[in-house]
Amino acid sequence: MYLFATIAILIAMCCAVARAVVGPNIFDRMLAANTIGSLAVLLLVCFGFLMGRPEWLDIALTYGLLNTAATLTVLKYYRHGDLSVDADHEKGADDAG
Amino acid sequence: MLVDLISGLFIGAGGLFVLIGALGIIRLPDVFSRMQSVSLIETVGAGLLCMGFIVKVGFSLVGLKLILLLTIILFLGPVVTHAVAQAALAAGVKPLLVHDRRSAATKADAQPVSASVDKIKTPNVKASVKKALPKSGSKKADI
Repeated sequence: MYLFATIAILIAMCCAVARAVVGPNIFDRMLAANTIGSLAVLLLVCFGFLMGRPEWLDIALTYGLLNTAATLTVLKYYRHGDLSVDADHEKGADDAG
Repeated sequence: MLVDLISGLFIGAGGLFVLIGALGIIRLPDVFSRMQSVSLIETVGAGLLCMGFIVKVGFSLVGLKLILLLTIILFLGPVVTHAVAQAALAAGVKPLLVHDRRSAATKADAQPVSASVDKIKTPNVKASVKKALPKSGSKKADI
């Protein structure tokens, strides 16, 4: 059953890679990239249990956090054009207080 | 033996949901509808897979790490999906819907109201613009 889950995750990663290649706009590609990252986390867990080494869960934890941070960073850069913008005070533009 | 059976059922169901989500990523026509199948992978697929592994390993350090991983995935996956949807809407991507189903039941009531609002609003706006900005309008037209 571990092998079935691993193969299913690999097939889903192939589908996500295909969507990232043919995606019409950038949001399809970002969504596909985030999907590949989440599936890589699940693949690390399943492959660790398949190989009998569940210590790879630490790598899976780190990869999940990094994947979320990377996706949010790219989306913020694409939306605002600047990473140092304060999204909560867009109209004020006064950061002295 | 029972533990193996239960964890096998959970892991098989998780793999099946991951495959269904992959089919949705390929087949669905829009960013927002693809987002729904991606969230299917990230919540139900990952939840069932991690639940099967938790049942398999029981209470140990590996089980604790799996619970932490499941918590992280369940909290941060919808955050990323929401951010993608918000950025797509802010960039002007239109959802691929024929009509809005939320107002389908009250469409007969909503349509004359909006039409009357348009009839009321548009002459006022035009009159106010003509009264307020005759000079600046001609300047803008010249520039």
